[in-house]
Amino acid sequence: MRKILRNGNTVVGLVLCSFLVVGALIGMWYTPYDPVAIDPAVRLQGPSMAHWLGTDHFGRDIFSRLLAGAHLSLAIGVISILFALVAGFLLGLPAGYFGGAVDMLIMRLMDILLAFPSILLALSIVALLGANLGNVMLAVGIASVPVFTRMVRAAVLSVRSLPYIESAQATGCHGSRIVGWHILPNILSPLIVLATLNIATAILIGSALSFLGLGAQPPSPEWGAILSEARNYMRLGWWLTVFPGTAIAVTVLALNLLGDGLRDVLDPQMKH
Amino acid sequence: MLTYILKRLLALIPVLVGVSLLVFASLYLTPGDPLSAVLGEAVVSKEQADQLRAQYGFDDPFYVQYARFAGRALQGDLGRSLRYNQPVLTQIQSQLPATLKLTLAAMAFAIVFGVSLGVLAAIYHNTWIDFLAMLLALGGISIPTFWSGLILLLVFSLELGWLPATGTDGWQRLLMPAFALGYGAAAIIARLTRSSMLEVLRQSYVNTARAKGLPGRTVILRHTLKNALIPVITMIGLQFGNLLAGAVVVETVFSRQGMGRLLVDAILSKDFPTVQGTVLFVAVIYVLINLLVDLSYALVDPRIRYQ
Repeated sequence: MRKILRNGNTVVGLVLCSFLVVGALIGMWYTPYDPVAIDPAVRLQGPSMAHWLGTDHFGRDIFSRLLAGAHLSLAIGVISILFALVAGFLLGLPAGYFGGAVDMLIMRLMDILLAFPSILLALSIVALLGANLGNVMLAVGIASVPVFTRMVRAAVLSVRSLPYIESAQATGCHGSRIVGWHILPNILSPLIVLATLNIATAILIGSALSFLGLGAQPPSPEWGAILSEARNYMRLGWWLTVFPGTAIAVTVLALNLLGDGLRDVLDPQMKH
Repeated sequence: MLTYILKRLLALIPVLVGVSLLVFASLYLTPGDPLSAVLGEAVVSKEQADQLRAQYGFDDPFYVQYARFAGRALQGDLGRSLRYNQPVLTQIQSQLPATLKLTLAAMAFAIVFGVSLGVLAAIYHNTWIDFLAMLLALGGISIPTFWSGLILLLVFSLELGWLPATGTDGWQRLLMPAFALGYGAAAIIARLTRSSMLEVLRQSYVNTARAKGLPGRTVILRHTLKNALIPVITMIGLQFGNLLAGAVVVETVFSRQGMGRLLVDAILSKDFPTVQGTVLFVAVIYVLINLLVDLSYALVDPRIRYQ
């Protein structure tokens, strides 16, 4: 813990992420104004004491919309990566532990998925399933599965051949016990680092899909969707594009700093 | 070397088969009847639906349908657009040049900016130049491409009026999209160049070169840079594929013609044959680029050749 707190990147990333999480939690229950209520009387007003970040083309308070949408944008990242983590674990673990035909089959499937650029794969899945936030989370999750599968497999392979695993097997330890007690604790660190960095990427891809009109639909306050709506009115107010984009950039920056810092502390080898 | 190339080419075949199979099978992964994915929002009678089902071959076994699809794809037939009633390949051929132009321009920017930034950061390691360079790089990987595009539009088109906001033709219309698309790749290249340079600068032969009294510029350009750029060249190749896919977003922001707009419009209008054909085309290009990157790595690094 002390090592983590001594790393500048990690501390900055942690502080920023904490603010974001607290903001997202607050936004789920309270916002200064109704984030979806239309008020033509105050449309397209710049930042002021009444509306800190201004109002949009429907008179909606931008700060309230960003606060309300924070949990949606964070959820895209967290849920999709949780899905990828679980799927990657369920596929990578048998591939690395059993090897042979199981390994070959799973890794060839991952090769096929990796043949598609992430955003293209996510776009294709959304095209098939329909444009909504849930499908975006699923799409981004599926696009991230190969990375986690490869990481889990590589980590299991590196640990599997160690002498203490051989001893555990020789003493008659059941496979599940070996996995749970001996392998899993040793692959957690690289997985945590990878997950943190990939949440950032997932938020970028998810907000891009919403920006293209393939994710959250209006009047949802998801940040990518806010920018998509703002695009047609940006000549009427710079605040319409600057603040939502800054929110996305700061979130991704915080996660990248946290991930970089955690990598330096938990898994320096990954840097090389 | 020739054996290595042949082995990689052979290994490519199952991946390409898998890619085409996944693209084809995606029709069956959609909820409901595959015909509804093909028809989009068009309403047809039961008799017409049965006729179309027979015409498209949806009544045939899966493997027969796939063989038909793969056979047609190998001959350049990627289906017919529901929206425009023209071959998907024709649409791709008309849109591809614009996307390639954008991608190449973005790549050129990414290489020049990324490598320069990385080299500067490594040479002036732990100074304010290093800090600023890495801050710019961090910005590149954190700022969404579509947002940087919007900000460029806001500043250079709407506020200053220096550059045109939309359109495809002319170098002026290429500047902002190329920067927006290439900034992220430049950031990745800068970070890798920096770490690679730092590693090479730590090598004993570099110390020897300095001890011999060689000027700093000679040490960097002749003894360090070439070796440091080996992994960077691989990354540049991989980034090309990602830029091609990232053009999807940038073309929408700047209302440019291209493969990205074609794909997004097809998805929004539920023109499934165009979606299927475009995804397959881009995926195959991506696989081939990755293969070229793998092969170039062996060409660029003499140590791998000798192995």
